[in-house]
Amino acid sequence: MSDSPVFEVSRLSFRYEHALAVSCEALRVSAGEVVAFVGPNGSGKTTMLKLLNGILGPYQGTIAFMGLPLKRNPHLRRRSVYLHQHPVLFTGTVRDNLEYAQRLKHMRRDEATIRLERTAERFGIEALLERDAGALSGGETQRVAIARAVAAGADVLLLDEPTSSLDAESDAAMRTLLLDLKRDGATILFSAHDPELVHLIADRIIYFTPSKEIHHDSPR
Amino acid sequence: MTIMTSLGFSLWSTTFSVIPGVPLGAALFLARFKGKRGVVAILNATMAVPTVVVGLFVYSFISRSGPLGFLNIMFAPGGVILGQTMLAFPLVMAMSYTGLQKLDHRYAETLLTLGAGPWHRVMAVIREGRYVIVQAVLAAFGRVTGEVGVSMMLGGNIRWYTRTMTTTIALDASKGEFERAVSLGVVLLTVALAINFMSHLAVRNVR
Repeated sequence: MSDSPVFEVSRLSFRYEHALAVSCEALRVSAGEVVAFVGPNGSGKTTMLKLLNGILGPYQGTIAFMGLPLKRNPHLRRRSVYLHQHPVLFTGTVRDNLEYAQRLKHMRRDEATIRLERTAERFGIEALLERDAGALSGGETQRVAIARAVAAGADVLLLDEPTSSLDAESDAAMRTLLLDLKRDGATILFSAHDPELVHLIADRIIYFTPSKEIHHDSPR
Repeated sequence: MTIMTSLGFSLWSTTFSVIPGVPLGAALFLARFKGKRGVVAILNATMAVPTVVVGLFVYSFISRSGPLGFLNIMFAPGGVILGQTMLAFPLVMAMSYTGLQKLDHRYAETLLTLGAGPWHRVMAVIREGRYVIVQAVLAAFGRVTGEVGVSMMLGGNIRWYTRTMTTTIALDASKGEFERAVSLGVVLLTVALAINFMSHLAVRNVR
């Protein structure tokens, strides 16, 4: 595991209207690390993931991604993707979704094709490629959404409760997938309520409290 | 002839209002800036501007002494189409914006996180919200087909040239020719009902 920071957060605070949503004195995430955000509903886990991905703002303090501030960061959209608890897929087939994400990254056509086929095989979604994206189950949608991010070149994944709405079979498949991604060196930050999942894949756990304070990195 | 002229004007003005109106409505939906609520309030207010006021505003520009007088579109189809475009534009933009509000906020965030630039995001939300956009377009078509102030003021109600269904109805009624006025009124009503029906179908597809 490399020590170069993927995320470096300092004195961060973010408010929705006048209510404090997140407050974080310091956070550092290294490449290849898997970090779990744990805490009750409304404690700021999702907000923190969105802040790290530059979806929410403005905020006070600093967030650096790959050593550079989030604003106009050339790596941010190329390498990191945030996934909702219930991810959305766009109109069209699964293949359309993967190709669209690749086009957004201006990937060369031959490279994109190879990458798409490899990703589909790796994620076990070859049989879904020509299916209507709107007709997939929750587990399949979750899997395709992660595949879409990886096919487009992302290696930093911010996952909001990736297994919370899955049935037992899809849940098991997702755990295997996350372990595979971890083994391949992806940096993963995820929020979860399931202690079993957290202890299975997380290198580190960060606790969020209802008072919006983030407990400093707690060892597993 | 009057019906075709009327529908022709409506088609052109709707087209010219949709081209900027829909992308701007989508851009407003995606944009985050201070004062957005104020912009939306002003936009909604412009939908309620009476047609004669829009007509008067355009008149001041395209009349012979106006800054666009050289275009020679006063009392010509171009004048009516311009006026109707000005009438439909805020409606298209506001209805596109309001309609897209029904779109799941996750679409916009997913596009952002996947690295879509502003133009890609605008086009993608238009595609995802196409049914509400269709509704906005149909509403604009209905509005310009049924208006009388702009057509009368900027077109002059010239027979075989700028006379529309609504100005014909107004003229016939003033002359006491109620039968002709009523028959055209029925056509206008049919157009309005057809638009409403199509709009209903578009919305039903969203659910």
